[in-house]
Amino acid sequence: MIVIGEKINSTRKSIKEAIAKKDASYLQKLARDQAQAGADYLDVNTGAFPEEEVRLMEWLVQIINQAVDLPLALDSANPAALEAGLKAIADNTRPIINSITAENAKFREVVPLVLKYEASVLALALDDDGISKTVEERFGVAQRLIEALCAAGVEQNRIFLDPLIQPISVQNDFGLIAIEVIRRVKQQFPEVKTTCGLSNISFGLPQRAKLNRYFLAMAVAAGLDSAILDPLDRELMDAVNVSEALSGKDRFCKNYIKAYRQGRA
Amino acid sequence: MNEKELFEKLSQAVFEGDGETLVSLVQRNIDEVDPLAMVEKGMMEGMTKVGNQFSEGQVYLPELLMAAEAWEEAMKILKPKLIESGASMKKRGTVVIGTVQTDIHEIGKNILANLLTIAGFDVHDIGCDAPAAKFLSKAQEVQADIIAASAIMSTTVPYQKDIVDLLDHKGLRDEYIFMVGGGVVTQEWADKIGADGYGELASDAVEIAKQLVSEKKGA
Repeated sequence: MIVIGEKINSTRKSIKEAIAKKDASYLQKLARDQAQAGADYLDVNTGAFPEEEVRLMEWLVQIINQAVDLPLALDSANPAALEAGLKAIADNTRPIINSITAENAKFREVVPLVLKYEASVLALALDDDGISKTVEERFGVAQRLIEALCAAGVEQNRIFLDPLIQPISVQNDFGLIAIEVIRRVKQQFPEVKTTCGLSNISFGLPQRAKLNRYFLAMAVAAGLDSAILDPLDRELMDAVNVSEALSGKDRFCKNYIKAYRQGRA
Repeated sequence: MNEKELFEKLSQAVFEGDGETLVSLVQRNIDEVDPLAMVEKGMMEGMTKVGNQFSEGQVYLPELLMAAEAWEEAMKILKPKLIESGASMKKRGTVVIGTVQTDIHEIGKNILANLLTIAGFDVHDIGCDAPAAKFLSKAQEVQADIIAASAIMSTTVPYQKDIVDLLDHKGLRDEYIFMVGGGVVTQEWADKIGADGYGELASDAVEIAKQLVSEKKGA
């Protein structure tokens, strides 16, 4: 499982304050903590500062690079902020650009960055008509997006396809729709990685952590390869381990047993 | 069952989001009981309770949506009767709400639309990816008091300013209360673009909307 640590996101209040105060040591500690907890990538978002996003993205990438060796997932809707982050990244890691969509303008703006910086890319299954409501349509958008990226010269294994998770509190079958799209993407494009913003599933409900854990298990069984989540949530990281073992992705249950021996489970 | 008991039952059915019971109560009593009283003394009580408890975190989003759905079903039966009787519901004000151009995030906006309806506003939802002109044309059509615009992304927040600019350009800025909200929107941004109101949470926005409308109507 490829874990993308979600903590350094400026839409969270404490992070926004830390960025505003340029509190590098707080943010660097959060980077190290996530790395230690088993994150494979760190998400970096400065979107709460629409007018300074570009400059702050560059600063944030620099200070996180000083703290950890992990590759980053640069999370912005603003291509200029993405490019500022890409330029600031240390040379030997391949970042994820978060994100591209099948919206015409968005696709045109972001593809050149993916190619120029040889980055991986998180691809959201939505187009100019928004988020489609059926598995058939949503998979159709995912398929077109993957094919368009490949045609532009991006290898399948650099694509992290996000089926888009919407809360079950809003519509009961939103979880199942996403899971079915994951299954079909993995069937048709085995090299493409699937990912998701896990906690969206539980918005509007009590005991969100519990819903997140069970949903993770269901999605991993369907072929989820990666998730944007809180690696500091020990029970959730345990659920990652257990889900992989149960889904046949942990040979000889090696990681499962190891986590138990190390007292992590 | 006397009227008082009926009103209590209507309130309870809305609160529990029990559309079936609510509709059957309304149907059984629609010829004898004043439809306006059923809404205002019965259903509205339950809806207000749902809204308040949602804001306090006691009631969860699906329960709010369930209550709203039950309400809608009952109103299908009640509306024609209300029109027939010439009675009109007390209306706190009229709101046009939507998510700005190029932004497709709707959940927060929908929650606020529901809470505003519960609070007695007449709410017109223009959906998402709505250009400034669409906000204005709808506001003119329904003679809105409030225009409320949601934006979630750093790249879409500037479209809230487009709406202010359009109102200014047409000389209509004073006609409407303009409210903004959304994940990355702050009070500072609201002040900077000259919005009249901002709520961090949907429940805050409802209180601000109430206050701004009463100021406007008082003025």
